Amino acid sequence: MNEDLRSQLKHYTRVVSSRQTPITAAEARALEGAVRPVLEDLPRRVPTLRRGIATAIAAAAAVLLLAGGAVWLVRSSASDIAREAGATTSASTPQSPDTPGGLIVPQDLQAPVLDGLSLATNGTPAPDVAGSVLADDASAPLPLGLVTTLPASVRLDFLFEFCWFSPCFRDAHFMDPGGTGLGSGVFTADTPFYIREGFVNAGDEPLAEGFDVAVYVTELDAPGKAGRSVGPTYRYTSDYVIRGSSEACGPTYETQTGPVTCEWFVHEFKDGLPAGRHAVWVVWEAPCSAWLDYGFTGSCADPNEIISLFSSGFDAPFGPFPPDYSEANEAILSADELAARWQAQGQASGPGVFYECTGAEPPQGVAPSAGTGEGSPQIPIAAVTLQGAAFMERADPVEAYKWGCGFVVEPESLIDGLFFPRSQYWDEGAVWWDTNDGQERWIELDLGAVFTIDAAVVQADDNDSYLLSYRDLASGEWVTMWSIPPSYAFGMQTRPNPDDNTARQMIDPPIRTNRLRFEADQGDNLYSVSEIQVFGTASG
Amino acid sequence: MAALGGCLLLRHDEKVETFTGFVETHEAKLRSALTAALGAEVGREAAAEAMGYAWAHWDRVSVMENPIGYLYRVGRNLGGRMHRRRRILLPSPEAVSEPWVEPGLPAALAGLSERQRVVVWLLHSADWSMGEVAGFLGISKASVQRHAQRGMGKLRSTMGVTA
Repeated sequence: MNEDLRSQLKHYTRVVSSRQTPITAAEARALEGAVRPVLEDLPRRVPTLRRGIATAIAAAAAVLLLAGGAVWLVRSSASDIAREAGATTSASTPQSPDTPGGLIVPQDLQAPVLDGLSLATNGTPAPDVAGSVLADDASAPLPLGLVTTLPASVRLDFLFEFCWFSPCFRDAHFMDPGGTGLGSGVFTADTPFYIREGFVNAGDEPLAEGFDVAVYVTELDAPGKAGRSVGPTYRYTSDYVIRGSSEACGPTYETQTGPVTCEWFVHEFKDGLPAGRHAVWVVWEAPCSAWLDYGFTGSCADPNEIISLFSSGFDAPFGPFPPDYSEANEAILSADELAARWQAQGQASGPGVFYECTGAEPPQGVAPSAGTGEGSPQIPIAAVTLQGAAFMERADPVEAYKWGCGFVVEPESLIDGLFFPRSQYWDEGAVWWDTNDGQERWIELDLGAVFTIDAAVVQADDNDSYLLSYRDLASGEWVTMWSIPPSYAFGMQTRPNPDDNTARQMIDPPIRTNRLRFEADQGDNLYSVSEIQVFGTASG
Repeated sequence: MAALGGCLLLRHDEKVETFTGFVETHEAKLRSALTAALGAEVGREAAAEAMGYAWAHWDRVSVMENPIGYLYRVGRNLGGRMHRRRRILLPSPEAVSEPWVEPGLPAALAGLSERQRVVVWLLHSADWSMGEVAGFLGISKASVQRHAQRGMGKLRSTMGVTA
């Protein structure tokens, strides 16, 4: 039977290919002027903080989580990022806004990081990437395993793989054995650690010149809450670069167990982070020409323009708990192995979970308070259904993917008239889904009768764009009535006005329909919506 | 022919000749891989655009060590935007006049992760070796093997085949 499956596979795949019209050189040449740029017309994306790496590492599902973050793009001008090649400076702990060595960027996560990139860098300079040599060379920077300037017992690994295309830009190991599950736990406050982010390449070709990694750190207000910043956000460029191969690359995700070369960008936090909950997120920066080499764009208006690519982020508590971590333990441990280690140390469990869900039931939204919205009455929606591939279910994938509590709610909650507080976690009380599998999903809203719609309000995840479409009564086709833009902040944000759940997006001219369709347009492949409202009048 | 900064400067007729040879040699591989990744329709379109990109940047692409792997990434990026809004569309066995093939096979393939599907497809459609697939995708052979095993396992599971 197995062989029969292989035989069928072989036959089917060959036949599918043979049924396609081969591409000729003439056809390809004719497309020269029509090849669409990849990067230029993607929406400008601002990296917003999302937690989850730590949890996600527990399963291969981390791949999908991080792949989602991979497409967040930010542009800034080359002059925005100082590059003092060859200099090496340590990042400083953001103890106060006046701490030297770190560039203070937006005052709040609600503020777009893009603004921060426009500030002059007076902190750590970018490394001399081009001047580095492979760690195999005696004169090279120390390979990873030989780094001794930091206590190995307090190391924070943050590994990424930059793979071949955006769905493969992924792979982080938040190596925190202080928890009962991979990535769970509390880090020790005021204790040195460093963060490394890197490329793992199958070949031996180093990165193109000009790559750097920026790390942003901010203090959050309270554990397990919506991730609002209470202090300044600090931006750091790398302290140094490590290049090596195979073992020198350290542990990597299971898909990179073969011979590889790696380049790690290291950020030292010699004073650690103060007690509290901190958010850390990471952004790749490189000239457009370097992204071009990786196939991320078809052309560059300015080859030297610095393009930023959000990598990933997490938030975690830092406290008095001493982690048990060393180079020798630098391995991917199963949850059972970690639990066994904890039991051996006389502790039944770890120091505390990464994220405390506040209850067993999903939170309820609240009715909007008085706002600016006025006009036609709200149209009652008769039924809402989830269509296409599966939306999130509260099963293993939820445990792997979730950032909040991973609650799964009934679709009817989308039309209950209730909104969540601004910046509610995307997977706590909303309908959420993951399109990293490439499958199509959408939400259909049956109005039960024909209405004339003149306005709409939606609360959805902040960093994605969505489409609200209506079924054209004449043609039966779905027609976009509102292209809902991102509203960069954190978590759930009401559109058109995140500060006013009653403010309406006018649909001009009004449309007539009996069915609506809501779907994701572009974003990080992790989508979420908590409320959809339309306004108008019955239209017989 | 002169090398300049890693690029080859070619006369137009040379460029046409070398590009034509390149397309004839590699087009099927690229199309097959992108079909696996993006589906039959989008994959073919993405492959054509990637080849168009290659022509537009032939001086640079022609000297690459792994141009077809690079173009796969280009095509994947170009096609990915089309693909995001669509399902993985693979023709039914009946549609390709192969009724003896299990009707659930296309859906089962579509249900694999993209990397699993590409690996399984390439290993079976053209008898690529694991090394060839690894080089093409820029991952290790061990990774290819792992993706293949998991992909086949999921196919067997989905289709109710007992190994």
